[in-house]
Amino acid sequence: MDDVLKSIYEGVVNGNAPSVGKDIDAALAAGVKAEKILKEGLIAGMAEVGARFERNEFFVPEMLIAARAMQMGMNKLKSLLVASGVKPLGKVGIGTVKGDLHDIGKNLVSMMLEGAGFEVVDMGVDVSPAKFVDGAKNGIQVIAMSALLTTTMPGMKTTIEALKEAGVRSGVKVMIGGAPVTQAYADQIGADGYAPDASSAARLAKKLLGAE
Amino acid sequence: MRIKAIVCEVLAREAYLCAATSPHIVDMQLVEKGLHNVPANLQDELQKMISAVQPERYDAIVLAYGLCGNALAGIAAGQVPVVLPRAHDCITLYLGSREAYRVQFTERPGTYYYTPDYIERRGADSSFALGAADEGKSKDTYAEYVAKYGKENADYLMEVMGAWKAHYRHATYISIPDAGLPDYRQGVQEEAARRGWEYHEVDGQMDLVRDLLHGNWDEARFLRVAPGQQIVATYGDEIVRAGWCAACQGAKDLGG
Repeated sequence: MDDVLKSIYEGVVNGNAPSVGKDIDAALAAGVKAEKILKEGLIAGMAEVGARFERNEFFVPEMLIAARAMQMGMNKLKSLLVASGVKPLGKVGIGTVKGDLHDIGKNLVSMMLEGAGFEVVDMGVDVSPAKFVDGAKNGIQVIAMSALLTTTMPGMKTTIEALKEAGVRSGVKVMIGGAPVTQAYADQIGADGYAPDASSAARLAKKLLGAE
Repeated sequence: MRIKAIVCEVLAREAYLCAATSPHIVDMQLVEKGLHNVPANLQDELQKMISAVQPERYDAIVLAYGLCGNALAGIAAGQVPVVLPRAHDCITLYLGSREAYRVQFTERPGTYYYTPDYIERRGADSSFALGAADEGKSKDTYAEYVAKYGKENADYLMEVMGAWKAHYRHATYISIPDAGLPDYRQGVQEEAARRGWEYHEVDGQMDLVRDLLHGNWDEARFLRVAPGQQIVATYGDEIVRAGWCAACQGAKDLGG
């Protein structure tokens, strides 16, 4: 791997946003393609971050600062990637369900998805079933819902029902997560998948779209 | 009947008031409130206490708890039957019914709730609000982040971790009218003003806590978990149900 790509990769893993920014400028100036920087620097870096998280070597703070470094890099590359026709892995619409305002976990998943190469539409907090349905009608391929409270979890079920009623359920994959959420609940409400943490959420999204 | 009451300390005053007038003999054990931050720890702790209750001494165990972020899902009765209210969390127990909680939750989402027990049992230097017990640790956390990740990243982490506050708009003080509890509304008003939240007051109702400790366990509001059964979350209106569990202590006594 080129030294500069290695440095970008390490900058992401270590959560060093300024160095990632500088290295990307240098790489672009040296003629390295944006797509190569994305794949071998940013995405590879986030994959390593996810792996360390799953081995309990990294925790939420390390993931957050790594994701921030990744985003700093992504912002520099975005227009170049679009111009050169690089396609994201897929389009994910993510939000906390109706009535739930807790979004730290949702934000982390959103960053991990972006770091895995997805286009992420962050629908924010307190997202109504109707809003998710609108997303599904407008090109979103995966709907990712989160809830921190058992009080608000039924919002996941009502959203899936709303997708069915609108006739768009078969066109989207639905994944769910959040502290009280379980695989059993995903099965009960007919979600396509459940992920217990941000790192496995990115993997699940890939699997659901057959991108793995 | 002799009842063993296992009570989250945030309901201490309400539980003491109701235990005193119970027609039954109630022995109370308070449990530290911070345990709910890690639901698995709360579950372990409660399960240990339930398993330790002597069947020759008690006729029933009551849990003054809600589902508490699924912490109670999976808890099994030992040899003594367990009874708990059908509630998502302690706010239901303060307000007296699921319906009252639903009204509050729907009318004013983004509310932090405050109660006398929660306030006086908070850690030094931490927020008054329910669930915000760890805020006092934030200074130590910041110093730790600066040392580990540098000042720039530390500032970012504090901003991200504290971002939940931006979604809250209301501070609601729940107190039981005419119960003679200490009055902490001024402190709550000050905290609400500091955070830019709208201040509200709601009358609490002791019905659920009282009926739990008085043994009035109707099926609509309370769940009975027999030996050999465990608590199962339903994610529906009934909130919890009892499920048979082959691995549970006491299961073989019932052939289940």
